Amino acid sequence: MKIYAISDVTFDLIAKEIDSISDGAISCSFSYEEDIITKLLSIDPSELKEFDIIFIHSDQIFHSRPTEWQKQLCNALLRISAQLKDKKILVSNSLSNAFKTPPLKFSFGKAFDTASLYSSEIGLLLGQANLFIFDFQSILTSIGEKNFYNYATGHLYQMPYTSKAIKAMVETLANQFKWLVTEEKKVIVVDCDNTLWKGIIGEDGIKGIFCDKDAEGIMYYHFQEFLKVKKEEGFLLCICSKNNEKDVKEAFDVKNFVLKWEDFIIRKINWNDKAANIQEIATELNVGTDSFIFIDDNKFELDFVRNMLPKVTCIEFTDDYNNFISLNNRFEFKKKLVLKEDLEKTEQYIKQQQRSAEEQNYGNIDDFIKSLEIKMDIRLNDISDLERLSQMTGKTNQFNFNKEEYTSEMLEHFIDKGGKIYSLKVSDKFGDYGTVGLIMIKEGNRKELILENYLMSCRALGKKIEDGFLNYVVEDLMKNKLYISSVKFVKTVKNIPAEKFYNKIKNETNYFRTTATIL
Amino acid sequence: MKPTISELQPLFYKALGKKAEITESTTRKGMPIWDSINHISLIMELQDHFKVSFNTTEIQKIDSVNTLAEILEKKLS
Repeated sequence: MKIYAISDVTFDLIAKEIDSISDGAISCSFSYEEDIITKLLSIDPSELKEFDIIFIHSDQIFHSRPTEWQKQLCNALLRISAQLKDKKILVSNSLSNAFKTPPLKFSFGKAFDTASLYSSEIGLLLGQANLFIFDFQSILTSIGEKNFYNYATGHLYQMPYTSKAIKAMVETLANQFKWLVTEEKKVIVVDCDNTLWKGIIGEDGIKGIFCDKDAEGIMYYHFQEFLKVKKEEGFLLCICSKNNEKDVKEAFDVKNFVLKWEDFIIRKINWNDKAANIQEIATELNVGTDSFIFIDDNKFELDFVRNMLPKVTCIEFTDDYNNFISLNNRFEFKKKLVLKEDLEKTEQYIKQQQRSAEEQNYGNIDDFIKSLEIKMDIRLNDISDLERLSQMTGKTNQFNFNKEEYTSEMLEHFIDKGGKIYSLKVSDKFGDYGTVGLIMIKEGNRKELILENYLMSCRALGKKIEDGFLNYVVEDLMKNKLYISSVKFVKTVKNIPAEKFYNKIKNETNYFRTTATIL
Repeated sequence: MKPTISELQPLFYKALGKKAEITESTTRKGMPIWDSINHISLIMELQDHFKVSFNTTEIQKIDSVNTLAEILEKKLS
């Protein structure tokens, strides 16, 4: 199984853990994106052909996104689910939580949940047939924020989770991945004694079995309620029990159970082995055994069925409520919603979404970029920023024309010798990016102009800022009748984005007077 | 008490891989496999093992086995 993860936290350790607990059965490619929306809007579906599932994870607590950003993320998710119809898309529900107003603004102790404002967006998302939710919030809740987050590693390496958090996330993720690519279950076969009720009817009699709201019977009562919901969701319920049928029928007649005798479509109550019974049910219903879930309290029966019918999912029922809760949460009991009405609903939603996307003007990446209201502040030889620029030459890997490192003294010297250093600060309506770009121009031996280096921090990439910055520099040089005649580009292991950009521009004569050559 | 190499070694193996053999003079610079991702792994292993937590400055300061042992010594005393 192949997963492609898009995440605004460092995904390396999560991918490693997924690989390790699945023994390599689930392989996980990933891309770290500081700006997930831009990435989602610029995805090329043909590049994702080999993947089964696209997993999108944004840690909202760590990044603290404004509410408008949330709305745009919803739109980007809708767009990608329409584009990638043949893929399963799994999205962390850290999204909805962050709809809460940031506590910074309202510090007078009144919690204010604005999620309802965006309920239509969330509703649209959930209506997409190929879009599923990874219940990140419930994992966070069960572990607790203090044990879940490590803000120090988050701050330094964009990896805000503890090892405990990673383990818990990965366990659920691996189960959900498996569930997403397998056929869903259709039939639930249950045992009776110590499963549908507490006690053994053949020994304890009707008075000795319990399934009610008293302490002794409450879990069995809840289990029957759970099965009733499953029946309403479309599962077929069956009984497979080693008993006299007359006794079991009497229990259903006398006791006021949640489930009725008729709720079970097939009842195999006899002394035959359970594998044979389940096989018979499969034949009668004309459903493969891989669509079966079998629940029993008896380890021997479970093992026997597991051996004889290995495709059946066998689950042990115990008298421990914690186990009961984890049984409840198993993915095998979740439907994927593929009823006809649901599909029609999905079509309607998609049409509605397309309309609203047009209205909102970020239906495509260009419009989205426009909506960001990007402002570029470009300076020439700004001595006061050399420290940051020097740091960039060391830290920037992806968009870096040749990975040459400069100290601030070296940069100062570069200017003194007649070189030009253009630096770029960027801001958009969401905030300030800081200094993100650097272009260095120098004169060669024959007075020709050389693009000595071009760097762009990855948080600014993908918004056409890299085109805009270079355009400005080229025009600025042209004012003095100066033209760049060569570009110093050196391929490194990591500078693929720079290489792509270089390949795009190298033959454009509006940038360069002559065809650029690699030095 | 300063943790010994033999106490730290298994944690390095876990976080950095089987080849991550350390001595008292091992530094991050001299050990290419000790990159930033593996550094996070190592921090996690250390925190889980010694039941301590490192702050931002400490995480950045750990650039060798020696500084690591010194920082742990302070924390554990």
